[in-house]
Amino acid sequence: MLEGFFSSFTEHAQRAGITRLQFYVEQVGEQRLQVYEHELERLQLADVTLIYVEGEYAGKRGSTFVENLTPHLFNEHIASIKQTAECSNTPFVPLSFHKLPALQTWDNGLPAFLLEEKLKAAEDAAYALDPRVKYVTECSCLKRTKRILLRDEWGNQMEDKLHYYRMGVAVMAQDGGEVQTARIADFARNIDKLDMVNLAQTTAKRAVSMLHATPVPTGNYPVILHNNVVCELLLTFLPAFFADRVQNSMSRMGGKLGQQVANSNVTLIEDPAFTLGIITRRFDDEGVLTSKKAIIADGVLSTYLHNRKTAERAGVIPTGNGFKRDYAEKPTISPTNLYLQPGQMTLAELEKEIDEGLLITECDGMFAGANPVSGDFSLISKGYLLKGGRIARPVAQITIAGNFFDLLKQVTNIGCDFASSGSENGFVTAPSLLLPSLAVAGE
Amino acid sequence: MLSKTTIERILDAATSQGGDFAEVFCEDTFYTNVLALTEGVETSSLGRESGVGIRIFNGLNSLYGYTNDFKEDNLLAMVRQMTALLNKAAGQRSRLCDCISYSGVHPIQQKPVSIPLARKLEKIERALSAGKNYAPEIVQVSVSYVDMEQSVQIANSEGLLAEDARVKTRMHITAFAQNEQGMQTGYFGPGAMRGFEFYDDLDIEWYAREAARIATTMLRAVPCPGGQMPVVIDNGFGGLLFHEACGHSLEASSVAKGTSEFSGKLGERIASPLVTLIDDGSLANEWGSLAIDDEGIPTRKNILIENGILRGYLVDRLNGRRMGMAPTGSARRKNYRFAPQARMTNTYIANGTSTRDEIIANTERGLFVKYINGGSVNPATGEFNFNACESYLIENGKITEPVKGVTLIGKGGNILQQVDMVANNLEIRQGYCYAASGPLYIGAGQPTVRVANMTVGGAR
Repeated sequence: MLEGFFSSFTEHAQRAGITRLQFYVEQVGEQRLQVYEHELERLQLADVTLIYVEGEYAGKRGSTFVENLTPHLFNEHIASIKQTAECSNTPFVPLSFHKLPALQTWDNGLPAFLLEEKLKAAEDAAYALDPRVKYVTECSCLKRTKRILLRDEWGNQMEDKLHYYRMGVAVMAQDGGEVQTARIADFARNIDKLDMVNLAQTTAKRAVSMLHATPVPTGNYPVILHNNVVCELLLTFLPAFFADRVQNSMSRMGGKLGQQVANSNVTLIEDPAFTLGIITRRFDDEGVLTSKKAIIADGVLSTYLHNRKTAERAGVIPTGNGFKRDYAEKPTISPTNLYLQPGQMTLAELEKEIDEGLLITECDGMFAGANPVSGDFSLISKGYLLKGGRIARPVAQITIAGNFFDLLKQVTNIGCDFASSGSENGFVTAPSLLLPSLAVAGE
Repeated sequence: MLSKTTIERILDAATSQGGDFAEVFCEDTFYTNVLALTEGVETSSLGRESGVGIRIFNGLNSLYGYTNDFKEDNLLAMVRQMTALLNKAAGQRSRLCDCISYSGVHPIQQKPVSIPLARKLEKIERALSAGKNYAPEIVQVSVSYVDMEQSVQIANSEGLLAEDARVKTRMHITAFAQNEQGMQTGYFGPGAMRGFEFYDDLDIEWYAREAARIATTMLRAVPCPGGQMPVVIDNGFGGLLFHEACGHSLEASSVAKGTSEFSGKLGERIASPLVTLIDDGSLANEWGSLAIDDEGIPTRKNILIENGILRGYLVDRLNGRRMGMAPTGSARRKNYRFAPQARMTNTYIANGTSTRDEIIANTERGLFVKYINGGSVNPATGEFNFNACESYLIENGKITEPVKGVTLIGKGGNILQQVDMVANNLEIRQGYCYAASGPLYIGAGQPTVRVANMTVGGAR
């Protein structure tokens, strides 16, 4: 069916004066199960093929996106390519194609009914942990498969595949009138690497331990940012390292190449083949091969992430980061899998470093309360008060505020623990960080 | 779109294989998305998304499948795959009625698909140049232009067959200002449930200059002091405070399992008597409006809180089963790739009797929030956060210096009780809301409102 579409659409478009047609195809399969009170509560299945078509018209690049492949819409799509070309100021860039080894077929995973049993066991484990676990409001597992195909009108093509599981657990704990919640997600490419029971128990423990949390007085505190909070902050501020942001004067990292932008203990790596990552891409959406590289090496900014356009403008080689945020748009810039190099200390050892301070385990409102351009953030947070190197009590209804780029320079110590977070538009794995001081607003 | 016969066959298959309710949602949407900077068009994309979502209930179990392969064989195969785990007896269904079309409810004059992209770029260009020319500190302006025309067909096993066309148009303008202290941004995003005629009476230059004015004002803002103080939130999109503080917690997906702070509180006083909260998806040609919701039910005015008393929730069919309540015309989804759930449409606080000037004059020391960025909430605990954009200190009853880095936090139930002044200048503005059934266009509004005490997170 796709082959037929490629050839007949190409033929129609050529007749309308559009040349050098190339196609980006995404085939997505999804299976999501959720259990609630020992019943299968939700099941979601999906199978879609999403196509983005580019061509050259009057020397410029035009595009359209298509889901319904019927020929009666061809004229509208051809008009879309022409119009976007006429209004474009970017020249057409042909995809680059490489000879790559054939891919193994992807993991077919577990049948849905077995996943259902595993989820029920995890839910049971969360309830069994503590009588104050009132509801396991979410206990779900998503399996996603994605095939990406780049193809041109001459039949050159390359394909990548990715697949992963995401398990999500949310727990509501209650003690009298006091309610607290916790939500944790974990990812794995192999279902056997997802310890569902452990994840459910960890989530339940977190919710229960937060009961009766209260604010701390407003002031400055030394802080440990727990691994998942570090992931969220990195995901939020990462665009500062994208060359398009830098070139459009929308990044604090502009002009800092080769300079110390973080403490010398900070090393940030992008690795498309990272074991814990989900974005196993061999080439980006412009056909450029991806590669492992340090963005920050021992505190020094060593590269920006480039697509072909920004690389050309900067006079450097593209870094294989020309990914689309959505199939319907042309590639911009995003990373594959990133990780912040872990340190030596366990979380407990980091806690011992603090006489009076905070362990921040949750921040929310990142999309509005953090400004990726300036680096400023002010975020609602939860965690624990540390006294004499130990957890004294849970803390909630506070904000932490600071500047991300300033924090990078102040990282005192790095944990050897890790968590992962993100999406198919960028995936981050990071340890916990010890910081000398953050502004906290509370009582 | 699917033929009536195909829909009948899907509903037959779903109900005979264990569904006690089945629904077919078919969509075909034309989109325009343009991102332009002062240097020119960064990206422009035109195209069409089309697909089918099939939903089957059995009691409180729900199954959802979606695909963009419209072939009947494929759709029936998907139903078989979905129901394989159900293992239940056959349900009942009614034959489909004659199709009801709702596409004339919100009149549209110029459909987006009929307007050449070049004419849309002329409007963008006006915003870019007005913003750029506002002040020398403005180093960049970006305009995100969106329009869409979503045709939907909704049918279910109760015999419903309905069609609707939703046309939306919006321009989101962001200005970037820079000086030695750093970079600040300001934005404004007018939109409506209208076609290209939306621009006939839109003062694009005013909105662009306003975005630029906010960005330059924030350049001279000082870090906000943290702590507790009275907060005055100006009229307009500030209503997002209530969208976060209590709107989400009144959606059935939070309420149904007893996991919202407002579960089981119908008829109780949950807010100050000054608070009346309304969600109305039927407002003519508003950005957050729809003629019918994504379950095919006509939208309507839902009074959620009336003079402080909780009067209702936003309910979809599935959660309505758990709650024993009828749906409220609030079920929404971004597209066929999401199962619908009750979401807000245009949500606002009704007018009070004070004036903005009175409210400010009556505030000894506090914070005045003129524009906001966004926020989020945990419905179980009511803990919300809300990031402000243009804000000022209030000292001795007067607005003084601008402050930046403002995050307001609190618990919904507590904030609702603390509303102690409401003005008479209601205004509804446009934005997006992010939740499980995808990002959706919403309206949020309010008159100027004072909250007696809130925790303000700042860096000073």
